[in-house]
Amino acid sequence: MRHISAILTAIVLFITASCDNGADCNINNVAYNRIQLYSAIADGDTIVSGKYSYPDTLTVKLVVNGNDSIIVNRLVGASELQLPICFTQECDTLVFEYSGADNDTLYIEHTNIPYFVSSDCGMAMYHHLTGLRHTHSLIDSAAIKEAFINYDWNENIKLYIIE
Amino acid sequence: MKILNYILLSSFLLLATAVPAAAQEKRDTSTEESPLKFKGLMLSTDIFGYLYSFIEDGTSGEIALEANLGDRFFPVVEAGYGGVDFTDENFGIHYKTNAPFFRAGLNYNFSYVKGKAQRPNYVYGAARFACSKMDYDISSPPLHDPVWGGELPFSRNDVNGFASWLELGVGVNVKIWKNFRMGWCVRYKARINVVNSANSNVGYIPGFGRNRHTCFGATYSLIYELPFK
Repeated sequence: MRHISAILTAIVLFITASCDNGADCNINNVAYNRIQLYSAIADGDTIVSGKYSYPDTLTVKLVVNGNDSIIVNRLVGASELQLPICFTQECDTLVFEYSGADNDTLYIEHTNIPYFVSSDCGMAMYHHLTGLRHTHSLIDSAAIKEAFINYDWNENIKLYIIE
Repeated sequence: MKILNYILLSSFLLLATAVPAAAQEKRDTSTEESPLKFKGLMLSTDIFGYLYSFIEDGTSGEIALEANLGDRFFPVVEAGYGGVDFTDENFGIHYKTNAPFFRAGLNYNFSYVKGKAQRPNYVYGAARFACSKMDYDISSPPLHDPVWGGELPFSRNDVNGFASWLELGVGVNVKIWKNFRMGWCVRYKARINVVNSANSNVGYIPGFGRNRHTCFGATYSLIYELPFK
């Protein structure tokens, strides 16, 4: 009888200790678009590039319903940006304001994916990048590296800056 | 001559008694029980799934058919139907599903003692492979965009999902009266894989419970030994 009690106690402890709900919830339900800056230096016919930090101040504004909203304010030495994506539109407009150069506008086209994570974590909003357009003041080119935007720390967009 | 007759008679008698003895010995050898000898079927239904619905979201019912092989191994198949219809208090998410699930596996009698008459009650270990294919409906309050503003509604119906998992457990099986038995089994469940949809993870797996890596469950079975072997 004592053995059976010990076995049952061990089973209960084992079960209690090993039950895992797998929940690793994000505090807010925003999945950020991660942009990495690269230099774009023309070397003859080829473009030499590497990771790049913009040496002056950079301000990034979201254009929401025709109104500007500052999301990055006078950042010095920017090398990467984490920007939110709009839940309800499928094309976001970002204005890059440089000190000492004309502004650039970056249009990010995407689909929105509302996603049920779990009853513990609730809902999340993911996105899928479908296209990029931009002006050419300091932005030489832009490329999608990882189209799916979720909570993972992926580099989603490569932004090549003219030095 | 008398002596010769005596020898022949005694040899005949000896042969007459020896042949049946040899035959008997041979028959004993041939009827020595195989460790996997089929010894009957048990049909059972679980009542724990119904009772559990009073304390936790989700309900299920199932039946099982179990074969007795030599009182030691009990291959078993289980089929059930389970579901859930809940609205989460924290997020207001409504989730509804009803779907069948299936399990197949083996019970092993820990109380088995080779060469001895087996007791009617026994403790066993259980191992199962299980799966469920389900459709579910899910809806949530509109998602609010904390940066850009605005809201996006979310509702999906008849979303497909699939999950498979393993179960390991221990249980007891006790004879109650004539062919009727009862038993319980506590099981540790480990999810193997789950197929989610483009817009949602599976929230509830019939026969398993809430979609988690691991969980535990139990059965309390009413068992009937079918009257044929």
